Amino acid sequence: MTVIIAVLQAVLLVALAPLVSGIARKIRARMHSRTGASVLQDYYDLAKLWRRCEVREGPSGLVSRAMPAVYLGTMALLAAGLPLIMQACPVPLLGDIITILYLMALPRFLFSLASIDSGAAYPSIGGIRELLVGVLVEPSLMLVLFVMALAVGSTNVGVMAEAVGTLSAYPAVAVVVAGVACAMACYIEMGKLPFDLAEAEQEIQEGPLAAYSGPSLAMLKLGVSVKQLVVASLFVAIFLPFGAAASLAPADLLLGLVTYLVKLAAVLLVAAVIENSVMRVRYKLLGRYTWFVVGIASLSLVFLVIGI
Amino acid sequence: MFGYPLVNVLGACLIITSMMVVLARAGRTAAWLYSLQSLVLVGVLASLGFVTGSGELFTWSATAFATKVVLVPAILLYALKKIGDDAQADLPPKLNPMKSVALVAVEVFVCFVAVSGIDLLTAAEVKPTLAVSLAHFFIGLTCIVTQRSIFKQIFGYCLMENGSHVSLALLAPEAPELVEIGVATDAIFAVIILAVLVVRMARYAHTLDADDLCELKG
Amino acid sequence: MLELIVLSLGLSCVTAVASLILGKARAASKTVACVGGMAAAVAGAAGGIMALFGPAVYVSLPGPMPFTDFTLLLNPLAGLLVAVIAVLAFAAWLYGLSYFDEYYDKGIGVIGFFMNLFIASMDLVILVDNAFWFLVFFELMSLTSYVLVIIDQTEKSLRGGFLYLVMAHIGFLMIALSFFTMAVSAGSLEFMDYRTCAFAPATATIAFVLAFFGFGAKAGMVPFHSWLPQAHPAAPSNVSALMSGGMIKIGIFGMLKVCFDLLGATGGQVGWGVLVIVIGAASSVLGVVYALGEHDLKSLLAYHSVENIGIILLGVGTGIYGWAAGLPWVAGIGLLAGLYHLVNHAMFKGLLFLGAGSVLHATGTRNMEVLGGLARLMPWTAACFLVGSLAISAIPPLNGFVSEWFTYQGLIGAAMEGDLFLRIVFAFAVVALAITGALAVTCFVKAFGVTFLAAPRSQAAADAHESPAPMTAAMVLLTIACVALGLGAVAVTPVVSAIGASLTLAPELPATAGLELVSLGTASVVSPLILAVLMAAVIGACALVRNAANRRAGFKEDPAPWQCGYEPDLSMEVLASTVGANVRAFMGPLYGIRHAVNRAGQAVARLLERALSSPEDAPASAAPAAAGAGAEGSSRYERDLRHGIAPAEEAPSALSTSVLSAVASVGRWFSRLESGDFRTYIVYIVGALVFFLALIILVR
Repeated sequence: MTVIIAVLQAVLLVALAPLVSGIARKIRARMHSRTGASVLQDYYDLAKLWRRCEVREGPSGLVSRAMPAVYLGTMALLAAGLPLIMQACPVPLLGDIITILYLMALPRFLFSLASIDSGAAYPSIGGIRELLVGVLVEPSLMLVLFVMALAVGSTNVGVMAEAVGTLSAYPAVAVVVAGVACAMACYIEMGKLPFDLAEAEQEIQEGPLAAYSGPSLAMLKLGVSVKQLVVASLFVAIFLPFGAAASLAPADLLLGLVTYLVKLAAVLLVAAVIENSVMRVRYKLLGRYTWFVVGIASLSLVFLVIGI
Repeated sequence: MFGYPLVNVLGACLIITSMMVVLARAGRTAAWLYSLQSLVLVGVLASLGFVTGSGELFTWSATAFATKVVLVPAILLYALKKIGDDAQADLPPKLNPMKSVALVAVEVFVCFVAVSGIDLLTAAEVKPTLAVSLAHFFIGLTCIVTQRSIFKQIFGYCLMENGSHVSLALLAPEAPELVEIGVATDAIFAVIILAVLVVRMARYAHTLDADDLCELKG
Repeated sequence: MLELIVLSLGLSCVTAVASLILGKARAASKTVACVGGMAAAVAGAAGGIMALFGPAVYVSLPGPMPFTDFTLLLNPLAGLLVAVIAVLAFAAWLYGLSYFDEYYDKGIGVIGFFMNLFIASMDLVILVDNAFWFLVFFELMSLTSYVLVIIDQTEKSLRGGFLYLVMAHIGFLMIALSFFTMAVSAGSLEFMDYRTCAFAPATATIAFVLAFFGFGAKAGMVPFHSWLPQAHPAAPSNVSALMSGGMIKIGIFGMLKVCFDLLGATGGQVGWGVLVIVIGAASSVLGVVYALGEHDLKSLLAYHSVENIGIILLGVGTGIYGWAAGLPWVAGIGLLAGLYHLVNHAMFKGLLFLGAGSVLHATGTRNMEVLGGLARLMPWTAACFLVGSLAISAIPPLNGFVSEWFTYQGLIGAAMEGDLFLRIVFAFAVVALAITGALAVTCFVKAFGVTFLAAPRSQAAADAHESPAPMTAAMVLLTIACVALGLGAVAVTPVVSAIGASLTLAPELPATAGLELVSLGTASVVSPLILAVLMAAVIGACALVRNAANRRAGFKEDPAPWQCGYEPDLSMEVLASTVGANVRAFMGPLYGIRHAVNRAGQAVARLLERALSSPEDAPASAAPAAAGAGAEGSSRYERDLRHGIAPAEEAPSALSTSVLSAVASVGRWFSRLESGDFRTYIVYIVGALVFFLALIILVR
């Protein structure tokens, strides 16, 4: 049963991703007093790209060929393991936070490697920036998850979700502050403005995505969207598990699915509003923001240690 | 008793003769003086044997006669002949004679003091001789250190050898012959090797001055 | 089991001598050395692996003096290390069958002799159970590897070798002091006596700290790490693999032996564990940060060894903490993590060094700035290097991920039980490990990408060819080992955790359940095997779908990458310095530490010199100024293209500088005693004799 839920989660997120980015684009258009494209535009784009012929440019080799598949596959796998609909993890071995963080490192590794493989300047710069963003966000994310693990007594995301859902995570203020820090860290990780450094369109021409075309580009765009969803879902799963199914009863599951979609929509709405109100942060000032998030995470650690 | 005082007297003669060896100028003179000194040594050993009644000491004195009185000076004189006149075998020592004598006296005194704490197997009366033989060791060392000619330094070595020989005889008169053979061969072979080295060095560097030889590089 | 290892030692010695004798017949000497070495390695590996499962074997042979009894102890820990070194040695010798062709001029007989002795001395260091022989073989190990480091006989390798020698002896001195501290209390030099003797806490702490820093100098942890990036690149690549994969593990082995084995009866203190963890965290972060600044492939890998030693120390520190605090679960998982990472690091670091050697063999340069595009020309090497890079970056499901998972679980589990201060320490360690992981990803993207991907940036890179079969076979062997240790974690974990349990004399913790690895304290599971299957399935499905679309729509090749309308140029590709510059922008203070410490070290050195030397001595400074920056106007890329790798930019390490100049100053002061006249020496000798005789008499 849980396997079906896992597969369902993966398929759901993959299917929803273009819709979510479409909605974000629509919101942006509305905020800019434009009509904007349809919310289903990304689906049309993907379909169009899928039919196109692919150009393999430059000295790129096997790594570039393999990367989009690895990216999408890994993100889908991560989506399958998160406790979104249920409070427990559908696949426990994918629910360990260490596994999640390091599984997210694989697409990042290959993403940047492929960008260097293309031999072109802009994709390479984008790839390096992606790596650096990862380096700067990792400590805060790990610190937040460390605090949660100590507060809850396990490194399994499902156990964390259950503990927060039943309000039995102790100490409470530490968890709340950790939640705030996690939200910020996840936002940076999602790569939305102002932290849109890997694919800064105006600056480096979409970065690594510029080296791809045709079905590979479609898969990569889809993968990037799914990654944003997965990171947002990670936050929602750990810190906003209210309403998720506590048992495997169909009614609970349905309720869990609905509440998850509602929570996700709320989170993405907030993200979209923020995204469209700011401009991209200057690359060399990125450190300021990430260390600020580390500071908040350290604050939550202090609260945890003191026992508040 | 007649024996012990004889031993002590001969010990004193040892000191005098070795001092003469140290002070001798010419190489030939030093060699002859060394022969004399070894004769005194033989006398010491013989009288010791007489006193303690051990037969080994007599054999010792006989072999000591053969090696030290006869062979070693012969080897040294032969070496001297080989060197000839072109190597100044007659260099003045670093310390002037008065200082050398003073140093020897000091050494004897110190050894005397050091020895006074040891119990002798033979008899307490020959303690002065033990002090003498220990001092001999240091006199030989003095000779090596203060002489400028490396030929003379061989004599220093031989004096050290003599000193240890007598010490051994005094401390262990019943020692088996193997020890004696060891000491004898040591004396002979060491002297042969030293002589050969001196001859070769003289041939090569045309000098026997240790200060000059220290400047040799590689 | 011990017989097999003794056989292996014997084979090594025989091969060493044979190779030296055949020195003039170069091909024969090389073949004899390599084949003999491989045979010895097989025997050693068999013996080591058998020792993992069997009971401990203890053999004692009386020696000439009372403290020189030749005792050997083969317990599972020793067996693990012997097996690891043997596997690496096998790969290194196999690699050497082709690689040593380059070293014919440098003396192949000498290489064969010293490398065999090096491996034999490493095995003996692991096995002996007597402090005297331990120090003897430790010194032998340092000396044989020194010769191998300087075998190139260039200025750089001589400098690196000398620094290595100084550091090795600093470590040796501290280890010797540690042993003698214990000997004073226990009254003998036999390890068996130390085991049963309960030392006073102060003595135990002194012994532990000295041993920790002494073995740490051999292991290459901060602050004794500066010899690694200068010595490892200078040695032949398979020797670097052996040194980095095997010899620095002896440092860890020594720490474990002193802490758990010799001081076992005394019990540990929590402070020891905290010290080890703090230094481990610092080593891991600093190691990878400095690696990012390198553009010499082997220096980069050497700095990564520093990082991984830091990670191993995190695990070992958790183990020590758990043992001292009476938390058997924490101790068990900490030691499991540390030992597992030790094995993993040996495998993937060995693999990476062999890969770097292949690159050097094919192109003649280690300078990443002028390489590129090698993946097409050397596919096997590139594939193996990629697997190695993924493994060292702890990407699931490979072996690096498994051991880092255990390390995290140990740290988090220990934090759960700890008090206020300890939680902060463990939080710091976890964050350090996370930063290290992210930086390692960055570094290996750089290393692999800049070297193997994109287009060749120089003629040397364009002329590269695939490595000969033995070299490729050795790399493939280690790749298989990496993958096997990752996917087969469920089989390896019980064995390693049994070793950890035997060290802490605690019951073995159940770390596996079916196909999954279990962490009891934090209630988490992971299964690399299932993960691999899932990943393969999902990624494979995506790839198939995409390929189907490709086949339908077709594709075309465009040789020139899009450079926003500019004419594509080779200098537009990413260089190692690009990545390094980016990291330096954000992590500047960490690089500043190195600079500041070196300046401080030079200041200390000058102070010591002035204090100890007389005014008329020429102030011969032991620390040459750092090499200046290159010409203005030409980019670093162009300079590297013309001149090869720029000389070392950092001044020699602060620690070795100050120690060296202190020793030199003391030596100069004492040199006044040497007059050059042999007669004074005779007086010295006799004087010493008289002195000691008088001493004996007085003591009586």
